[in-house]
Amino acid sequence: MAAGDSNASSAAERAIAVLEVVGREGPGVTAKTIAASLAMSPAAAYRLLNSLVATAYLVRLPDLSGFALGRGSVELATAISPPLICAAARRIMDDLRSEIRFGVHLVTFGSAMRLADTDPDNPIRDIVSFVRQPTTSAAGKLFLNREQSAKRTTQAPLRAEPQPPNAATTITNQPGQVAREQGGLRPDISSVAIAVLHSERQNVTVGALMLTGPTTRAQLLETFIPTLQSATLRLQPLLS
Amino acid sequence: MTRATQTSGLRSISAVAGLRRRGLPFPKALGQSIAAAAPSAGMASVPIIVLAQSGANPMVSCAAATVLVLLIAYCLGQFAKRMAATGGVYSYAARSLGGTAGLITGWFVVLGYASICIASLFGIVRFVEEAMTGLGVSVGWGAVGAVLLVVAVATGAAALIMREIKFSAGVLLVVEVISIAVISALVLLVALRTPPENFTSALTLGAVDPASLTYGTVLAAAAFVGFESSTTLGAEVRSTFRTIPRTLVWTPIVVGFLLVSSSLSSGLYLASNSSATSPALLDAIAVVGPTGLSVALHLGVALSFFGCVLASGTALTRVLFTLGREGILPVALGHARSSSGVPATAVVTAMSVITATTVVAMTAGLSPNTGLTVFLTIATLGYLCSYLAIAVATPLFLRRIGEVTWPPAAAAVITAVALGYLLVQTLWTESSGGSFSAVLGFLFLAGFGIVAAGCLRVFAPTRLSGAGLYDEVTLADLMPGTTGMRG
Repeated sequence: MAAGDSNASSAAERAIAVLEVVGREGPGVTAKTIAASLAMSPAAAYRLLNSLVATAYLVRLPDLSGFALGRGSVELATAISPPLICAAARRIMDDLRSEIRFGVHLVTFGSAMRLADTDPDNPIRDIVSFVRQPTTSAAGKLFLNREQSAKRTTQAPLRAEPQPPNAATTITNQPGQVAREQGGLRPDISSVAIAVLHSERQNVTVGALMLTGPTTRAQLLETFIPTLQSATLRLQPLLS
Repeated sequence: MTRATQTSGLRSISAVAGLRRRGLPFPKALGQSIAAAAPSAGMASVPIIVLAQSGANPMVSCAAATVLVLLIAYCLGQFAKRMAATGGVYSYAARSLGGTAGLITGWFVVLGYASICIASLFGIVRFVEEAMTGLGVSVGWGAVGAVLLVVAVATGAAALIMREIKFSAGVLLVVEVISIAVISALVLLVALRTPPENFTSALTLGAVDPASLTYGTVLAAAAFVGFESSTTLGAEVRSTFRTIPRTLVWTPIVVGFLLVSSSLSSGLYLASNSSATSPALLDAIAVVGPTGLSVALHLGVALSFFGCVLASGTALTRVLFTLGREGILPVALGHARSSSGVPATAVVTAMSVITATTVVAMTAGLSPNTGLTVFLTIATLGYLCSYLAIAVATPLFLRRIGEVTWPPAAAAVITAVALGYLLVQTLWTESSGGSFSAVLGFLFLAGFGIVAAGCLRVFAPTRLSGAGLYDEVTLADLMPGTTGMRG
């Protein structure tokens, strides 16, 4: 049993070491180089490389001799690093925060929901629950609704036409683009979120702007929806 | 330290865009490979052919053939682990041996798939006729009826191949499972109805001298050809670098098991019935089972041949698609329909040529039985030549990408020697036996292919430059969130 475990862990270590070498050497590194730099037997290295290619952690480049990090590795890397947003998007967020006294957060939607820019003065404390339990926040509800709303907009293509900025109120009335939640993040906190749509494909939600504040002042949160709405239109091209 | 390329040189769209990429699961890919080898037809015929022609023990010969085919599979696996090909053996050879040798190998592959389809159509006519005779229906339909049957079956097969690969491979899997179940049930029946005390004599049945065993192995190996056909679905299967190598290993194991079981059953029957003269499954079930089982046998084999037409036809269309995409054959062949992801022009071309050849041969007076033998011989020779090319190509390929190790290199050398010997043996015995015309036909066709490839090299070398195209890595394989995976 113990021997089996140690073998398993050394196989995992070897696989990670191979990924590290490919990451360090850059695309095009050959099997021979990888085997040499890890002092592995060529046969073992080739076996490991083929297995990492089969699981998409590595790819073989078109010349068939060079390797590069594949989707699997890239997804792993992006899952642990905070998503980068551009300076223009950060400026929009700063402007909103100077105008609104509640917590203003930007959330992006990929294969998972991620907190791209949290309000430094009113931060979301339990980020793990926020990401793992989408039903606890307004943004999470929009994330869960994403596929459903995509279907709806496909069924009603006329409504999905790109909207001019002054049509913000029309968007507000569309189902699935505004969500509200009470007491999920913390017992005394409510949230309101507005969907940020893809700038060209309006049936795709790329993220959400979320406002958090005390539940006792939930009515006041609502009054900021038009402000958030116009901000999402400015954020669209920056996140798409 | 080498830094050969930069990722910026990657394609944004797959080289084989248009096909339904990465969708086919392992069972359906395995079904494709097993069906192309038509094991049910082999189960019914291999024991008698091996014993009658070589005098060797069919069971030992089938086991030896399984080992040989697993060696070939090991060589093919070296490619399948590294490149998602749509031209199968052709693409592998073109990548390592270059355009001209690759094209010649491709021609052998095309000969193999096309001839096995034609042989199967003849086989269907023969076994349907025999099933009808068994049912007491007189076969008074003559040549016209046979031609109509061929056209109907080929059209049906073409219509199925034209459907999305997931659907056609699913139908193929069902056809193959039914066919194997029917024949296996009959084989089991024969084994159970014969006294088990003859088990030892069944094992020692037949000669054990090396010469007859070698020839027996050659004959048994012919029952495996087509086992590699899933390599043409390299771009269409899910997790290709795992699925294709697995089908390459499991197909010979499944086919080998079925053939060895059938040989054992036939051996038991022969050892137990002093009056029996041959280990034919047909004779055996006539003795041990109720009348009417022969009809099931014939229909089971006919179904197996239909599965073979579907599987080999699919593989052939993918090879033609690849040659079209590469610009070696007309580009229309390399176009896949957006609605189904199937290379429609390649399907129509391949199935028309196959049907026309069968009909012409039939109307020229070739009997179903002769047609089956002649085209099966041509197909087997074509396949063996292509496998030999792969055995030679394997170490060259591995050396080229800097990943050569001794196990595949040693396996390739052993395979090449064994295949070379088998090929010479087959050519010799077939030409001195009844299939002289088939060998002559094969040599003529092979010569034509070699001359054509040579002409292309001399007069249009640029046309050959595209050879070896495969579903190489695209930008979408590096970047999550992009949707290019389905190409």
